[in-house]
Amino acid sequence: MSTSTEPARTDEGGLQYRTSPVVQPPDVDGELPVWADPVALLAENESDRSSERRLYLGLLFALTVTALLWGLRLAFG
Amino acid sequence: MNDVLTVLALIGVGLGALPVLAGLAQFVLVPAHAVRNHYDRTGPYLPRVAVLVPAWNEAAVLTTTIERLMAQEYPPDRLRVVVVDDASTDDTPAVLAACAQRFPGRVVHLRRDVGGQGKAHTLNHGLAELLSDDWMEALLITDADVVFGPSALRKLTRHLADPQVGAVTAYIREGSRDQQMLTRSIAFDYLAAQAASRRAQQVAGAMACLAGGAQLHSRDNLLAIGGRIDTSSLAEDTVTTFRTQLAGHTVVFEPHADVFAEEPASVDALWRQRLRWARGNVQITRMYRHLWFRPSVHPGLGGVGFASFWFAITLMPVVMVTTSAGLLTLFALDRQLAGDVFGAAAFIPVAAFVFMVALTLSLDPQAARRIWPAALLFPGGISLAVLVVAVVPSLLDLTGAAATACTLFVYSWLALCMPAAWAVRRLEATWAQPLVPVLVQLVGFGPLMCAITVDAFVKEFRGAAATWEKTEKVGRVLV
Repeated sequence: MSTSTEPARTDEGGLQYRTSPVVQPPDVDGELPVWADPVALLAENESDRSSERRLYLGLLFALTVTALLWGLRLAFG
Repeated sequence: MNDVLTVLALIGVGLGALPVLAGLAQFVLVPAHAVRNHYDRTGPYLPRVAVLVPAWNEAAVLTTTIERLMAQEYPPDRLRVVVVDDASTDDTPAVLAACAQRFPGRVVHLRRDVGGQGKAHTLNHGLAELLSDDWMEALLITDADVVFGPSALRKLTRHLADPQVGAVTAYIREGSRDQQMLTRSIAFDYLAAQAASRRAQQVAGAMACLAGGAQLHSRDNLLAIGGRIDTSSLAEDTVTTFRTQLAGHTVVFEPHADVFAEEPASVDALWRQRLRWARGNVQITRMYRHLWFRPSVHPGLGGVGFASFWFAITLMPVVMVTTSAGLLTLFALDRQLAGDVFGAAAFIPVAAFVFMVALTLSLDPQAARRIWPAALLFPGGISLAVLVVAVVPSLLDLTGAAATACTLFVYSWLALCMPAAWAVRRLEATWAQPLVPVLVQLVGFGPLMCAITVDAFVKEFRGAAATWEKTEKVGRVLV
């Protein structure tokens, strides 16, 4: 760990994490920017994690196209 | 004698299946990234980031790049851009002075008095400066033409919350506003080689390469790899990736950070860029010869799976020639056997190609709408026609000399497509230049890459000067 990085924190499972100092929210009216809102950061992370499940649809699509090709070969080959 | 030749020919043809199987094995792993990814170990980590941009004559693109970095949705006091001007002779110093004035204290201009030694030397100039004090906690290495979306940086830094992670890389999209067929082919190549392949490598536990234009390192990792970027090869980003993993850190791929780059619009520029990459890979193959197929050295990089993937790419031209030679030998010995082998074997690469293209396009539906023709034509129009006839032989019913000529051409094309690609590059400098876009699609982007690999091997074994040829960027990225 570098000398300039804040000490790592440990979660309930005993895993270590790097931490950064708490950010000073900017002086703005209305909604906080995402980087100043830990809840929004976690939501963004969760959204990206969930979107990886689309890979299953991609697999299904690829298998379907390949199966169609196989069918084409059987029909006309 | 004929039996021995037949067996050798069958082995030659069989070798052609190896890269197909290696590619297929890799793509089968891609969907596993849905569950085997790094998101469970991320956190809201916003370290002080220095962005290091090497620049030689980049006046046309620097302003946009810096503006987009300054517009990152990231704590402003934790982000600095350091541009190392490699003794530019254009307006780069003036552009940087204007940017430094607009963003005081956040844009730093370092200038080398003597330049032209290559990107790694330029990066090391900035790295030495950045490591000389404690401000920087993470370093983003990028290129002068690479444009980051507003949330890109924090999507990369979140992975560094895990102290095991040494570096994070992103999927760089081809971002030209004036896309043409060649840049669409590059876009598909990036989709396959980055968005698909790096997901698979993450699942398998060994990453081949951090994108040169989007690699975020923790300070610890920079120190662990010696505080310097390797200058002994033309693929410094791949060496950095290997060193990071050999130092015990992991490399993570972040697919959701929006990063765009300008890519070459001419065959010659593409050739020079990819020749540098391919020569770098040949150098690395030799540099890390103690690593291949030796899991005891590193379980990921030394694993059979990673080595198979690596050599499937670097030795692809050799395999194409052996397959072609095998088919031609079989044809000379026993036409019927050659036809049976080709007919039986052809469907496997066709099915593998269709599966990989469909899976790759599904990863980025927005890009897929623009680049699907380039994806289909990736092996080239001629090869595509051969593959279609191989799947549905009844489409082409020839007899006699025409059938013989056609068969010989089909068996030879796997090897001939590489000199054909070389010829297309040469034609670009002649009166035939307007025909080149069509010829590239006929010969294929894939064969073009294989021809470049051959050129890399030839230049490396002849000991040709390993000069750093900069890819010219003119600011075509859509902002």
